[in-house]
Amino acid sequence: MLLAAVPLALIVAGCGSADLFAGPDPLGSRPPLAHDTIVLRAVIAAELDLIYRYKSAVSTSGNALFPALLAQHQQHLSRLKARLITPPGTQPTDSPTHMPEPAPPTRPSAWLRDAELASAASLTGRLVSVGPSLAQLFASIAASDVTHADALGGT
Amino acid sequence: MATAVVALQAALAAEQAAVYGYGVAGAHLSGASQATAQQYWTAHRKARDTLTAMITARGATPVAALAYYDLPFPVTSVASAEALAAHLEDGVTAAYLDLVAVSDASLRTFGALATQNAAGRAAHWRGSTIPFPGLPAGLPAVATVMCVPGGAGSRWRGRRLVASRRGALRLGRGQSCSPPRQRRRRRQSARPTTTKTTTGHPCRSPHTRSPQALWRPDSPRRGWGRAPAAPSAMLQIRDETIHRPVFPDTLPSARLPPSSPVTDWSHPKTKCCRPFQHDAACEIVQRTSRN
Repeated sequence: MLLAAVPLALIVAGCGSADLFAGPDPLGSRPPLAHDTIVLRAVIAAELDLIYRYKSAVSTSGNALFPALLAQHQQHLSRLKARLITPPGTQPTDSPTHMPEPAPPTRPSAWLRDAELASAASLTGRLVSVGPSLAQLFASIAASDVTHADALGGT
Repeated sequence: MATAVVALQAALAAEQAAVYGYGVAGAHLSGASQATAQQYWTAHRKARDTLTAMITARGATPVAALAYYDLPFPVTSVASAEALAAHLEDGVTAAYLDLVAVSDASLRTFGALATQNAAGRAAHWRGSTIPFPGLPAGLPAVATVMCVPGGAGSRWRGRRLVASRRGALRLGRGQSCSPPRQRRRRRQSARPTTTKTTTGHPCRSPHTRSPQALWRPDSPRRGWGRAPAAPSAMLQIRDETIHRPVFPDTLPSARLPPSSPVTDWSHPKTKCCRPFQHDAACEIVQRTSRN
């Protein structure tokens, strides 16, 4: 009785899968990204930007502080990427979305310090809209960025 | 998500511990370092009052400070005093990071900014920065081990662990509730016959200790996750990331004390009734427990 009713229901529903099932259409387009994923991607892009800046500064300056801070930013990037689940068939990028300007020949510390403070402020603003675990990671990285800025201010 | 009041109470407890601890550390500092310690001490007192007001405004009763706190390691020099200050700031950083996990956006921002301040102070005392202030170092393969009071190894635990917020005790990563066999033998051979002076200190609090939830990398952290059994060992591990002095004019004048498992059991139960002053009772306790 029940088996006989299923084809009838399909006919009545016009065989449209989206009409019959409440969930997303498996034949449709890719579902939209979750808010946390969008924010996380933006933060990863910003971290890549910072790393690019540090690499630029390392190549132009002999300051021993820069490579050490660069290493900590690479740890930030690793931890952030570990939170990002990329769908199959997509390749995460390892370069910034837009190339920041190269390090200035004079006072690269101030240039990096400004970038660190901007990163910390950006993370602090973003952490209010994401899940608690991700928010704590953002807050920790922001705190690290602030300590980096302090260290750069002393050079 | 953590409830706001619970997280605020935890931050308040951490601030109270910092106020107490800076009083102990400050007694061993002088000059610019002591001035900095006093400045930070004042900041912690203000933060304590702010948190008290926030908790009261939410209709809860703020947690009271303990009569005294177990020091994580003996504080007998400038280097150990600065290590204690860094340790305290690490605890405060972790406590404020708990606030970031609450649902209230304004509290999250408040917690994040306070985390940044505490991390900056910790970096000052440590002389270096770390990549993830307030979070356990690295992604642990095994969650932080917690010992239930009264369980296996409780005797060892009582001597090795440090007091954390809400009086909870916890072990560091990779450490079990039982000490290594060799270490236990060494400690027993060096243990004095009389420890009554230490355990029976008039300021000792009969505070009930309780375990906290395990931390997982994908979950909001809770508690002082980086309060290990041997803080000196922890600081040594962190030294691997040292890259450069943050504040050259206030660098620690000596290296941090090496890990000393033999003497860890004799952590003084410091009586700190007068912040920033040496306390004769504390010194008596240390001498007695070492003889």
